[in-house]
Amino acid sequence: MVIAIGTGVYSALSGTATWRRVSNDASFAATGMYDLRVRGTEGLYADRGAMLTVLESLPDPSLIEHAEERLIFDTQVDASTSAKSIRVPGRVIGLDVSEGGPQLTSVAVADDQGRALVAADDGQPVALVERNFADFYGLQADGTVRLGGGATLDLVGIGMGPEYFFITTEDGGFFAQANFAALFTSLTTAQEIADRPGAVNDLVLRVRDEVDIEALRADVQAAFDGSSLGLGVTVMTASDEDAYRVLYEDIKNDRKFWNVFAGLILAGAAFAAFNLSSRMVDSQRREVGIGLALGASRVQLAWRPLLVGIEIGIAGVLLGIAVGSLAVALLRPVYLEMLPLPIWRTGFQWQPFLRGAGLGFVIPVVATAWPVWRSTRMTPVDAVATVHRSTNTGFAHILRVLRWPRSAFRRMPVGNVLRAPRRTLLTALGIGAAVATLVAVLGMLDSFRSTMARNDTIVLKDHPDRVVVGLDSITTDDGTLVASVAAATSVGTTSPVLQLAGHLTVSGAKGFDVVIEALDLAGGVWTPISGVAPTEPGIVISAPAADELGVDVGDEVELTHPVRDGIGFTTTTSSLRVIGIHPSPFRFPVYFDRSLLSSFGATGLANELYVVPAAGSSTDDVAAELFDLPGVNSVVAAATSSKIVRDSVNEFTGILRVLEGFLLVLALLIAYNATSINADERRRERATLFAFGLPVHRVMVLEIVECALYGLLGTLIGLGVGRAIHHWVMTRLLQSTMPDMRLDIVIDTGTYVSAIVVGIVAVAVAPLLTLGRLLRMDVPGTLRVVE
Amino acid sequence: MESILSPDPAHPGHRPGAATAVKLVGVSRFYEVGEGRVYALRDIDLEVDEGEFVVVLGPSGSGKTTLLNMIGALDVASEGRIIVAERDVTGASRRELSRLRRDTVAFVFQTFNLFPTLTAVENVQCAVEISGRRRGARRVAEDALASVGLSGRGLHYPSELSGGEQQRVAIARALATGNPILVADEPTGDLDFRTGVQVLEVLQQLARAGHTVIVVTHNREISRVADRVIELSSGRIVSDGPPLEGRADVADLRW
Repeated sequence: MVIAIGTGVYSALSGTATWRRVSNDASFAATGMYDLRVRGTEGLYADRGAMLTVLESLPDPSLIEHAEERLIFDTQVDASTSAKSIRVPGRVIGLDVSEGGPQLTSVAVADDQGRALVAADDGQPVALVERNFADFYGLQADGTVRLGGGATLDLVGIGMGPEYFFITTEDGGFFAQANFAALFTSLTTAQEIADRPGAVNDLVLRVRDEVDIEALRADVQAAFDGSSLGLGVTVMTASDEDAYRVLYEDIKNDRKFWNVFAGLILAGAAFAAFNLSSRMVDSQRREVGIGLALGASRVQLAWRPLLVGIEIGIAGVLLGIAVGSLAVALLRPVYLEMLPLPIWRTGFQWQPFLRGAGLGFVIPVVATAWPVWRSTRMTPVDAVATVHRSTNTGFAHILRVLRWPRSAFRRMPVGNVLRAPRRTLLTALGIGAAVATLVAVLGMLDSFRSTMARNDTIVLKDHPDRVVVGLDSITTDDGTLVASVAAATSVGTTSPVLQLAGHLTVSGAKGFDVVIEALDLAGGVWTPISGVAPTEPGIVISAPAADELGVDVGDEVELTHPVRDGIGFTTTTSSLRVIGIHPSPFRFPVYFDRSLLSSFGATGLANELYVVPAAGSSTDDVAAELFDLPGVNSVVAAATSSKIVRDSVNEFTGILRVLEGFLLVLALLIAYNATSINADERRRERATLFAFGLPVHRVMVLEIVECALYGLLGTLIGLGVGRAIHHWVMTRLLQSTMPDMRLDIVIDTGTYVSAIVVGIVAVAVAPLLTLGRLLRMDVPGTLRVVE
Repeated sequence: MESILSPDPAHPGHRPGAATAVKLVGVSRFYEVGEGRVYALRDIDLEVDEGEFVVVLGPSGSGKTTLLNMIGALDVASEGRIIVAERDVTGASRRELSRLRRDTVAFVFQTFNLFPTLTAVENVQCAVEISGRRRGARRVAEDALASVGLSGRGLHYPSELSGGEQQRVAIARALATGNPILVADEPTGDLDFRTGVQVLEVLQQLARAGHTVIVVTHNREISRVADRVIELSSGRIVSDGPPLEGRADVADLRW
C-alpha cells in the first residue's frame, strides 16, 4: 500500500502536466485560436475590410489560410444582480457571425449554459458573457448587462473564448476574473455600441501548416507599417497572448513543483519499503542458515526472499493503479474548477505511471536484495544460532547516561526507539518525507498570503478605501475629465497619476520591464514611501528591483521611458538617481514626483486618478457614479490586486488538500508498518508486561508514545527538509517562474501545526491499528517462544 | 455449608494454621481440535498453602506449564474452579485477571524475558512501577537486586549479564513486586548447573521468607529442594507429597 501510494500519487501529480497540455491543445483547437493577430493601437480604427486588404500586399498572400476582422474595445460593465453590485472593467469583443462564424477565436458554450451566437444575432443587442467572470459571480446565462455609456446587452449564454481561458491583468496578475468582464457579441452590435459603424481594429489569422510563423509575422508587420491605414499595429503570435502563454508555461512550472513533491512522496514510500523488506528477510535468517548448513547455494537461498520482494513490488504497482485512479478522480474536479476549459481530458496517464511504477517495483526488490545479500554471507553457525532478536539494544545504551525520564516504565519507549537505529531512521525518513512535502507545499501558500498581506498594508496605507480610476486616454490634470471626476458627489479627494511602461536597468545588466507612475509624492492621496524629498530629481524603486540591480539610494539607474513628442510618445533612456526604495513585494512599480514630468515632456498629464471616496461614500458609490462618465474606463478598488492573488492562491489550495490527504495516509501507513514490525519482534516483551498485570490500554500507550517519538523524529527531519525545500522553491524556482514578485519566505504556525498533526498525531495513532493483534495475543504461548 | 475458599486440612503438605494460597477444584483445560477435545489438564484438585515451596514435575506435554499458567491467571480453566489468594478467578474478565496478576502473582520465566533496553535495576524497577508503587520504586528495586546478590550489577544491561545473573534479575523483579505467590517456569532450564543452583538457592530463601513458590520443571533432581512435589502425567496428578527421593539441600543437588 505504501508503494501504491508512492507510485499512484507520483503518477497522478506528474500526469497533470499531460492533462493540461492535451486539454489546452484540444480547447484551443476547438475554439480556433489564431496563429497571428494584428492588433491596432487603442483608439484607432479602420474601415471593415481594410485590414484584410493589407494582407494582399504580402509577398505570398496564399500563406494565409483564413482571416477575420474584429472590433475590440474596453469599457465598464455593470453586471449587477438583485443580490449583488458588480461593476468591473470589461471588454467588448465584436465577432463576425454573419456567415456562421467566427471560424477563428470562436466562443464555446456548454450545453447547459445558453446558446452560441448565430447569424441572426448580427446587430442585435445580445451577447455571451465570459465564463470565468460568470462563474466567479454566479451569473446566469440569461441576464442583462449594462455598459459604460448606457448601452445594455441581453445575455444569451456563458461562453469561453481562447484568449480568455485564463484571465490576467495588465500588470501580470493571474486569476483576474473577479475584475474583468469580457462580452462576446456580433461585430455589428459592437460597432453600434462603440458608435463606430463599419469600424474594426483587430485581425486574426490562421496560416498554413508549414509556414515559418516568425517570418510571416515580420512580413505582416511590414505590410501594415507600409500601409496607409495608420493603425499603429502590433502583430502577435499565439504565444504572445497571455492566456495561451500562461496556460502552457504554467504546465512547465507545475511540472517542476510536482516532480519535487511527487519525488519526495516516492522517497517516503521507498524508506518504508526498505524497512519492511529488511524485516522480512531478517525473519527468514534461520531458514537461510539451515539452507547454508544443508549445502544449498547462495543463489538458491536468495531466490525465495527475492521473489517475495518482486511480489511486493508487483502488488504495490498494481495497487498503485487504483491509488493513482483515486488521486486522478480527486484532482480532476479541482483542476476543472480552477482552470475551466471547453475540453478537459483527464484520463489516467500511463507514461508517468510506468515511470513511477518502475521505481515502485525496483525499490522493494533492491530493498530485499540488500538484506538477502547480507544474510547469505553469514556463516551457517551464526545464522542458525538461537538468539533472541529482541535482545538487540542498538543505541539504547545511550540511556545509561540520561537521567530523564526517571521512571523505568517511561524509559521503555525511548529505549525501543534507540534499539533499532536503522529501522528508526528509515521510519523517521519516511515520515519526514511526507512532512517535508506538506511543509513545503503549505509554506508556499503561507508565503503568498504573507506577501499579499504585506502588499495590502502598503497599498492600503492612509486610505484603505482608495480607488484607482482609469481614464481612456491621456489628458491634462486640469482638464474637464479630471474636473468631472473630482466633482462627483461620492468623490472626496483626487490625485492625478500618469502611468507609463518602461524598462529599468543598470549598466551591464539585462534589466526588466517596469510600470512608471508619476504621482504627487508630497501631498497626494497615496505615496509609496514617506520621507522622500519630492523635488529631488530621481525615482523611487521597489526593494526587489534594488536587490536585483544591486543599487541603493543615491545610485544611478537607467530608465527607458516614453517622452512626449508632439501628440504621441517616443522612447528614450535616461540616467536617474534612486531617491528612495519602497517596500513593495513587486519588482515593477517605479515612482517619481509629478514635478519631474517636465523632463518627460508630459507636464500636467494624467491617465489615472487616485480617488478617496467622500465621507459617507464607499468604493461602490464611486464606481456607480463614475460608471456612465465618458472618458472613465475603469474604477477599481486599490485592494483589488491583492485580492486577485489571494483568489488565485485559494484556487490552488484544492490541489493541496488532496495532496495533504494522501500524505496523511502515507505517514499513517509508514508508522503502522514500523509498529507492526515492532509488535511482531517484541511480542515476548508485550507478553511479559501482560504477565505482570499491565492492562492492554497501558501497553497501547507505550506503543503510542514510541510511535509519537518516531513521529517527532520524522517531523523534525521533515520540518528541516521542508523548510530547505520551501526556501529553494521561494528563492530559486519561483524567482525564475515569477520574476516580478519577491515572496516572503514565511511558514505560518498553522503549517507547523498541520505538520505536527500529520507527523506526530497521525503517526501516534497508528498502533491502534494493531490493537486487535494485541488483544488476541496468546500470552502463555508467546512467553515460551524461543526465537 | 463449607465454602470453597475454606482450606482442606487434609491436603498434602498442609501446615497447621497456614492459609490457602492456591486452590483448584476439578479443573480441566482442553482445546477443541476438529470435532474432538484434547485435554492438557484433567480433573485437577490441588491446594497450596501460603509459604509452601512446591515443585510441579513432569515430562514434556504432561500439562505442568498449563497448570502454572492457570495458577498465574494467564489462562482460564475450561472446567472447574480456581481460587488464587482467596479470589475466585473462575470466569474472571481480562481486566480482573490482569489485576490479579498485578497484585498477587509474580513470574519467573525459563528465558528470563528481561527488557533489553532497560538496565538490571530498571527491569526490576519497571515491575515495581507496574504494581502501582511509583514512589521509592528505585530503592525497592535496588534492595531486591541486593537480595539476589546482584547489587553491583544494577546498571548493566541484560546483554551484559550472564544467564544466571539474568535469571536472578528476573527473580528480583518478581520479588520486588511484593506479590505473595511466585511462579517459575523452568527457571533453571537455560542455565548451567552452577548458576542453576544459585537460582534455586534464591527461590528457597524466598519460600523461607514466606512467599509461596511454585516451580515447574522436568528435572527430578531439582524437585528435591521443594517442600512438596506434584507430579503430572498426561494432564493428571499422579503423585503429590514430599520428594520421593527425600529432601536435599541445594548444595547436594547434581544434574
